Amino acid sequence: MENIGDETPKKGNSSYFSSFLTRIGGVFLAPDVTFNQIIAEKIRFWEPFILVLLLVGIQGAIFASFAYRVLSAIITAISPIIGEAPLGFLAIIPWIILTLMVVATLIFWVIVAGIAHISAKYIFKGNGSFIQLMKLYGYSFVPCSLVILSTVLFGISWAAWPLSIFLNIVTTFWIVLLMAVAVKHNYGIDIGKAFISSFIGPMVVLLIIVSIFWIWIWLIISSFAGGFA
Amino acid sequence: MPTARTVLGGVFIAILFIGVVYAAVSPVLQPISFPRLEIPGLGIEGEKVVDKYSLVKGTNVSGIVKFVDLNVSLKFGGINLLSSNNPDLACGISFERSVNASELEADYGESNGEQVLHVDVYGESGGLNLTLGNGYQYNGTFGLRIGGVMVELGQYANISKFAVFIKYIGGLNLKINSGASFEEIDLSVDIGGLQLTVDADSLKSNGVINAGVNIGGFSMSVDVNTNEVGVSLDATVDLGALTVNHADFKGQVSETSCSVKTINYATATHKLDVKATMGLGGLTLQKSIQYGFPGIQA
Repeated sequence: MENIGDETPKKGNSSYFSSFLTRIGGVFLAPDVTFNQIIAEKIRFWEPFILVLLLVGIQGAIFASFAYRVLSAIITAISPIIGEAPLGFLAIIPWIILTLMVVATLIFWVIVAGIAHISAKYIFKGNGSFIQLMKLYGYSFVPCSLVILSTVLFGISWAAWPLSIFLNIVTTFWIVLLMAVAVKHNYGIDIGKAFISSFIGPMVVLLIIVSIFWIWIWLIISSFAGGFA
Repeated sequence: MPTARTVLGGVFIAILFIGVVYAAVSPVLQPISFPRLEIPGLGIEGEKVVDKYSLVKGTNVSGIVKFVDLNVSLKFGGINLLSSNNPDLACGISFERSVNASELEADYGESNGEQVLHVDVYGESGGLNLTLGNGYQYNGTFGLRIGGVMVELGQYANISKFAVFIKYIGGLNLKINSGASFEEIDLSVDIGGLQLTVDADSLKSNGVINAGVNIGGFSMSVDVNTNEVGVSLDATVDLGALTVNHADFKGQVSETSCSVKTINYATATHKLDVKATMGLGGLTLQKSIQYGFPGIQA
């Protein structure tokens, strides 16, 4: 991590946009200092919120665009059999994909931050607010820009798939790390406890939900097959 | 002087901008294409031919025939069924197909003391138009594997029992107009949509419609004179949702089932009872069907 002590933007001599860019870059280069700075400057919630919406919106738009291209190709290929599909039908699918991605990400944001908050505040007895953690988590999504880049590269040339996979893996680890750092600074706990709160906690909850889901599926299948007997 | 963090922030914004541009231009600059699927015998833009058959009283149908039993089967394409004001016509068949596609196989014979005319029709692919007269009582089974079926029953329809099914994928549209007469119609779609339109001020008899869709949607629109025609809908949806949006219907509605009847159902002159079962998908009941997706310009 670089020493950015002399790079902190000063109010009055730096435009807001420049400060914003510095915060984004700081999340990449010096998350410890940047998160402390975000907490100290009391950045309002709408900035990370718009940041997350931009990231997931653009990512969703790329996926939706890809889905539209594939669907158009399939419909064109099978049109001799089924006829031309209504244009309205084709147009609505990308919107559904985009909406689902945005909604799912916002829900994911709240749930993951909620689990980390409960763990850090009530199990590890840290001090910090949920809204503040939501803000820091919002900034933690910044490496998702690498996923956007990898998707574009993959879309331009499918031969870029190894680089695309590599960037996706890097992004995942980076986000996990940033979330742990966010919890550490927000609640004033050590990085080990922060990692447990930000990653292990949500994973355990996910494991429980998935287990319940599969048990439910198993019970349904069993009932069709005549019960347990 | 911009710092390293500011420059990196700028790179971040640039990546977002590239993403937006790529999402916008890729469908135009990088269209994906698959080879067009061609089924042997189903020409894409080839020459079309029309096979025509008709069964008419006094010509190839004896005068004592009162009932017509239809058995229609088609693999790909469309079936369109209409009624006409022709008392001598037992069945008119018109089959439009590609010149390379198989001809329609049509056979008929009389039985049961020659009161019943059996008509068997089998086609591979194409558009089949069936026209029924108003001088006979009809039973029928109409099967299609992939494609669409459209049935319109009006004042000349005189149906005992029809079974219409789409075995794999397709759409089924049944329209019931004023003066229609039928006892039972069974509709079935495996994957696709089923649309039932009842636009009738009166019916000549009580009727039952049993509708089933495994995966897809069922849309029912009803615009009737409730003093003359009482309509009931008993429906269940296994996985999905059900919506009743019709002021003339009263009863019990939940998210996955409903049992509703038109006002004055008990005293209506004739009744139409619809039983619908839906697997995965949605079911709606409304006064008229809204086409298209509002607010979306393709």
